[in-house]
Amino acid sequence: MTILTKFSLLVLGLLLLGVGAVTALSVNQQSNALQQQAVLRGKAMAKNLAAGSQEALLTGDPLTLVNLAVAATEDGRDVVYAAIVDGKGITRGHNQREALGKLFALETPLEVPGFGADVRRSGSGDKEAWDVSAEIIAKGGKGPLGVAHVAMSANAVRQSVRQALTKLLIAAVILLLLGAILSVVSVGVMVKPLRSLSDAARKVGLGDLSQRVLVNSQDEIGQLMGAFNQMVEGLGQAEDAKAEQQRMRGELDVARNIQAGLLPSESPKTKGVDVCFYCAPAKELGGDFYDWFPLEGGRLGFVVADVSGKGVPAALHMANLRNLFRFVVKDATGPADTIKKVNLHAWPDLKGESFVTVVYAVLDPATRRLTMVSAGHDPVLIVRAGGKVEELRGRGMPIGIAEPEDFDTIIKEVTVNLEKGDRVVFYTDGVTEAMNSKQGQFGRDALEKAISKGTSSADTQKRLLDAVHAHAAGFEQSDDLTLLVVGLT
Amino acid sequence: MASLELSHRKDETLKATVVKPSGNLDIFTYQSFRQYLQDLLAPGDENRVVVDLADTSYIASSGWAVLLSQSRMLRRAGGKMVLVNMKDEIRGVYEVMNVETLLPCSVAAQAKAALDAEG
Repeated sequence: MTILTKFSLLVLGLLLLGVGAVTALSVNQQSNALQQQAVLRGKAMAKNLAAGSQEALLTGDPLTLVNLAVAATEDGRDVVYAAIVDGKGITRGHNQREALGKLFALETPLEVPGFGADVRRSGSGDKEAWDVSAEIIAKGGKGPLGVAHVAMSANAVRQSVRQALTKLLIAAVILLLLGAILSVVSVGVMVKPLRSLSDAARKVGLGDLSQRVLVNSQDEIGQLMGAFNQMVEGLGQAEDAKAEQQRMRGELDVARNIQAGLLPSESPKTKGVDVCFYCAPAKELGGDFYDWFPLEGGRLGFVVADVSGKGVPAALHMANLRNLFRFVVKDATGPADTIKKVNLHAWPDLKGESFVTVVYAVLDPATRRLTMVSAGHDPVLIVRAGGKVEELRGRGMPIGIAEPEDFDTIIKEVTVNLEKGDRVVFYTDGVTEAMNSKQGQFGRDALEKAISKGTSSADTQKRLLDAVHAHAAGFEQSDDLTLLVVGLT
Repeated sequence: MASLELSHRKDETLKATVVKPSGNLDIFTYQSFRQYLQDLLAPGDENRVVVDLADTSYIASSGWAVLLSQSRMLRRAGGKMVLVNMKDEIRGVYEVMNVETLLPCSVAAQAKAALDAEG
């Protein structure tokens, strides 16, 4: 059932109730008033008849009495009969001849409620009448001579009530019709915006977020429409934000692939050297990187670096640094010279906001000598063939925080002689600072323990990664983790 | 996720502002730490800063970047930043970086001497 039907039925029901009550009340009142009016007229007529018939009754003039009675009935059509009754109860004057000389009696002599004993009911149905009597008193005052009766028709009153009722009913029907039309029109006007709202909501449900409804009132429905518009607006914005997020995520995925492509995927093929590497950024993009390049005389250069910070800024610096290394390494005279040149060029780019810790080492496979420099990076660990772990600690500030003249004075090369079976482990702090759920770091001791048992460089790397993952036990990696293992075979 | 609480006070003896970060200076907190230092030093009337690391248990590279860049700005303005109460686990990283000349570290008792030192 629609609101329109419900509301119209309600209005009609109320109107019907109201009109019914008013009609019943007014008909009842009118009926009483008319009855009272008729009886009062009857009383006046009966008194008149009593006064007029006194003399004729004393003299016993029958013709005058009959004439008086007939004259009384001609006074109005609502007079049923008029009678003059003597002291013995015999009808002496009457408008109906057959009643003369007979004992006067009422058919159903009931008192009419609301009037005195002189008003009584006579007859029933269409013949119902109110018999109003008045005593005929002699002028001398010796008690009543008889009684004059005038009967007023109840039917006449009923008829005028019926007429009034008919008029009232016609008015009521017109009122009801008007009420019905008015309620249909007004509810239709009120409900119309709700229809447009439900249409719009259906379209929004199908994905059309451009839908808006026209708000043209300040009432509850108007407020609802306003809220609907706001909701669709918000949905649209959320949709846009989601699309934007998806686009950015897509771009980050592409960038991640590009970044992964910047790292070498193949190991050097140099005889006697066995290289493994691993790099896992904590976010889509990382600031860690590793690289290697062949140098003059069969030597190999290895880089492991960590750009401070994460994400896109770190990744941009990382790409810049990786290319810078490949560019300067050709003309540099050694590791210290290489890293000084890198700092010279990178320093203006990093602007002191970010810095890079780097370890750069050059291995000569022929002599098994490794020369390294560290720009503020964690030490390099050497696992000797017997499992003993040694630390190789360079001296230098991170790239990008000091002006070349300060940087260059501190940086210092360190050289170590390696043996067959030794492994050199380069790592970033993502290894030692790998967290577990209790904020516990993996640490240097665990690192040394894990790598000391390794055999080949691949085995060393695997043991270390397994230990780190076991420590983190699923806790989210918070820092980039990079590993480069160079084994001498 | 570890949180970071930041507070500072004026120290009349040191004639410096002592900033105390409590918690970790890491990838999640370094931005609020940088903002805090920038807001503190923006008026330019304070150029002697002591960073009390007594309640700092971890400094990631992003945290070091903030300390080093703010220290550089202070030095350019003729001021100085000194770290005190550094824990051993942080000291390892600090020593690897070789940045004593750019960002000195001292025991709390010698903070004044470190602030007054040339360089």
